[in-house]
Amino acid sequence: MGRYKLRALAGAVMAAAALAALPGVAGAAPKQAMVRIAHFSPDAEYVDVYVVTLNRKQMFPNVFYKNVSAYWAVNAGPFTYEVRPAGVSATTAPVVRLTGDLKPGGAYTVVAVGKKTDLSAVLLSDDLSPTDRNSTKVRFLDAAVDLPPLDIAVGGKVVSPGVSFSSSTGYRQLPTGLVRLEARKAGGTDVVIRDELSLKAGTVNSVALIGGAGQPREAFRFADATGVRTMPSGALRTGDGGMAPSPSRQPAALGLLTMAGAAALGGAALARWALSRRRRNAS
Amino acid sequence: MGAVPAAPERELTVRRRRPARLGLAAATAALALLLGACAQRTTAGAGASGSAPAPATLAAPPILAPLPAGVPTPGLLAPAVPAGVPAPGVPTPGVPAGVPAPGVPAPPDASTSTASAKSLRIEVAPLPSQVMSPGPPSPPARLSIPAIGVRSSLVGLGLAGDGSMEVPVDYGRAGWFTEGTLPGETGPAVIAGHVDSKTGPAVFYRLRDLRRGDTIHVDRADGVRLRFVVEERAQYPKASFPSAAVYGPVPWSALRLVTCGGEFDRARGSYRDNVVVYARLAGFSR
Repeated sequence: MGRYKLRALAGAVMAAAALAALPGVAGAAPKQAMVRIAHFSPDAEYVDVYVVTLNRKQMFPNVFYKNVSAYWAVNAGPFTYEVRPAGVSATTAPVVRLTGDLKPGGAYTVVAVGKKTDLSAVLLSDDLSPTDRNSTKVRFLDAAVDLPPLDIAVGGKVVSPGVSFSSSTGYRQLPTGLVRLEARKAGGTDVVIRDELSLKAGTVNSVALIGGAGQPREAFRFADATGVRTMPSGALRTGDGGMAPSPSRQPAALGLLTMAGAAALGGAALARWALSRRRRNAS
Repeated sequence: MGAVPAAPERELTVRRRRPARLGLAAATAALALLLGACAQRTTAGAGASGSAPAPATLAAPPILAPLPAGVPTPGLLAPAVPAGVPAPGVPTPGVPAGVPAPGVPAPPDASTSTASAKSLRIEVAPLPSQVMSPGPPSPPARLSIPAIGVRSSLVGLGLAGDGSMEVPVDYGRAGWFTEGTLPGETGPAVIAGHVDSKTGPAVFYRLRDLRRGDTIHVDRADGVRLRFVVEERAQYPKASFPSAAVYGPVPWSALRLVTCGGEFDRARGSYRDNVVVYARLAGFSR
């Protein structure tokens, strides 16, 4: 019985040992996410934006119309975004408050949209994964106030029909180069915003349709991220082995296993020795 | 992971048998020592991978905090602050009555419960800028990495016939990927160099010694010196080269240095792994 238990213990310790020996399991860095803010409220001239995450409580004073921040790193997890008129105390009730959950490794944009009297916030998840070969990724955000839903056309062809205010399309791959962009009243030919976009290969872009309430209507493009123009395949051949050690060496993984095994055997032997000693003492 | 909590539980079971427990303690201690040795070996392997094949770290480069204040930010996306805008911390005229004066503790406010429940101090900062531009684009000319004694002029590298990135012909020089982004521009600038030739060390022989926080300088043709800071170094089996992490979209100006590492496969005449150093633009000077 006792011996059985000891063996079980040795087994458990060995399993723990094997796990501990796996690289990357222990001591992982705190999980982080990236977040940035954008302000597209046409008549809320400047505001104070507060962002509260697990590790930070940050205030950005005087955020202007069309401001888009860089991403900054925060701990993943619960997240609060608040907007107050510029200069008021942090303890006054915010004009807008949004809560969300930031996933580890995720990238997010929090956008303030709507007129000052009807401000709201949208939390967008940003997909910064690579684009297809020779193409670009674009998503559209409808932040233009006082308009019906919009059909978004690229090069004369509707790519995103019926986009409603304060909503965003997903990313779509588009051909690179200069493209003609139109936002039309949904289902019709009435163009409300017309622009040209220069799209480069490998880039990830957001285009916000903004304006109204005293501001000109326009397509405001902001970059999410940039990758290489052409993604090479696979690994690089950057060594000829002149400095490589002789091939007689054991691979490290095998070495580790051997060591773990030896440790377990040693442990078991010690345990057995202790057990026999206890028995001798008892008899 | 599941086996980890099991160990103390079983230890409790045998607690009644004191002598045996002593023996067990000794056994556990011996195990711990040996394991410690193993763990140390693992860490050392990650550091000096040329001689000891290191376990591959497949983690993507970490996201760093925004660049420190004081970094020059010409070309700021944000419009300039107009006169008359209230400065942070300055009491603003027109603030509604009832707002506590500075220095007076504010009564708890239900609407900011999340914000005020914790004692995290509010950090006040300007919006992190989208653009840190060292001026109009200019191709890179030289690379220097003081920590590992690298000084090299840079050759242009395109795509090889098989679709992979070309590598420098000259073992003593590093090269930059012309299909990537220019160092200093938003996106990943990729620089490759050999770890060794058939006969001796090459330009990136000591790349595996770079540590987080080390400085990498890229001098551009226009005379601007870019300063990158190492975020992470990792090693990958060539079969699982992290193309997305190395070449994929990044929101800032990034630099990746690539060479070989791990074990040398004599049958194939190539190393089994690639070593990648991930760095990020931290400043520039003329």
